[in-house]
Amino acid sequence: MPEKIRCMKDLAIFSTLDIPERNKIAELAYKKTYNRNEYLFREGDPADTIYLIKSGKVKLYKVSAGGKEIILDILKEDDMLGENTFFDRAEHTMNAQAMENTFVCSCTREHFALLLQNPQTSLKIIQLLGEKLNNYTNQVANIAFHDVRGRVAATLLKLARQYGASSPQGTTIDIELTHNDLASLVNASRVMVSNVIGGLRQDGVIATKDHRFIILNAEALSSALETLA
Amino acid sequence: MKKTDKRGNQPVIEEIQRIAAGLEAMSSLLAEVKAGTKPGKAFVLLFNLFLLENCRPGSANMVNNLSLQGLADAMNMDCGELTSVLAYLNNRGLIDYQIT
Repeated sequence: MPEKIRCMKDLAIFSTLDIPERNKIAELAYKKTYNRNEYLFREGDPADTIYLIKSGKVKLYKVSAGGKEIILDILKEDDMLGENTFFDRAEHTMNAQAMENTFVCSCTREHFALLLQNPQTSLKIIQLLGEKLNNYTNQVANIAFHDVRGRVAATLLKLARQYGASSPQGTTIDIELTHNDLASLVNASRVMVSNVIGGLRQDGVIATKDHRFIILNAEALSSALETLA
Repeated sequence: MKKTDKRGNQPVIEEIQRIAAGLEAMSSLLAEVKAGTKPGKAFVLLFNLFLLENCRPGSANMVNNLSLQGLADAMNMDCGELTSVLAYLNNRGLIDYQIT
């Protein structure tokens, strides 16, 4: 029980609740650490559990008919996944894989419905889902309206907002990303993305260190988005 | 305790199901667009036409007056394929269209 309380009490989603209510939540929740590359669920698995990330990062992706990995989102602390669980007899329609050792709290659909009896929690969950919906919409718009350079710029700026940490050089995106990962996120070939990254690096807009991107000049990166404005 | 009874909770669950359905539709669309499938390409083309219609003077009703054959040619499909693709996008609530 104490482990469960520790698992839940620091989640932002429940931060507005008082201690007795948090204790009630603790009774309903489970915790698990997923090792890097371990799957939380795979496409086609029954959707019967809601997951909340306490720490770490999770990649959501689908595999195309041609076998290509299509990254849809990278989730972090306080994000939620497994929302198909809200439907009866649902299946997961994507894969969720830990990108690093990831600590996750989870609960069943029935228990989650109990959590929703609290209006503050309900509002927070609706807000989280709304943010996810906006993210998918923005990604579609990003692909539709921008060239590869614009898409790389938009994606790096978005990741910097989500995972950015200030450093003397600029803003470090605190997530290990290969050119392949970035190519999948922006929907371009790895070669094309590497060329764009090389150009941005040469222009002094970004730098890379230990597989992490550093935004040196956010203003210049933003200007790459204005080509179609 | 700020709680509602089980019946009072139902609108919240329905709202969450509504957003979750939207999420499912958008994540599927994103995957289609990224994979470059026919529905994905069709949506991107329609999306761009819609944007043009709304930001360029004189291009009003562009999307309303699209020729099925013209659109099919632009997408390198035949009319039958395009009709299936439009029906797929329509059924997922991503577009609304009528053939007149």
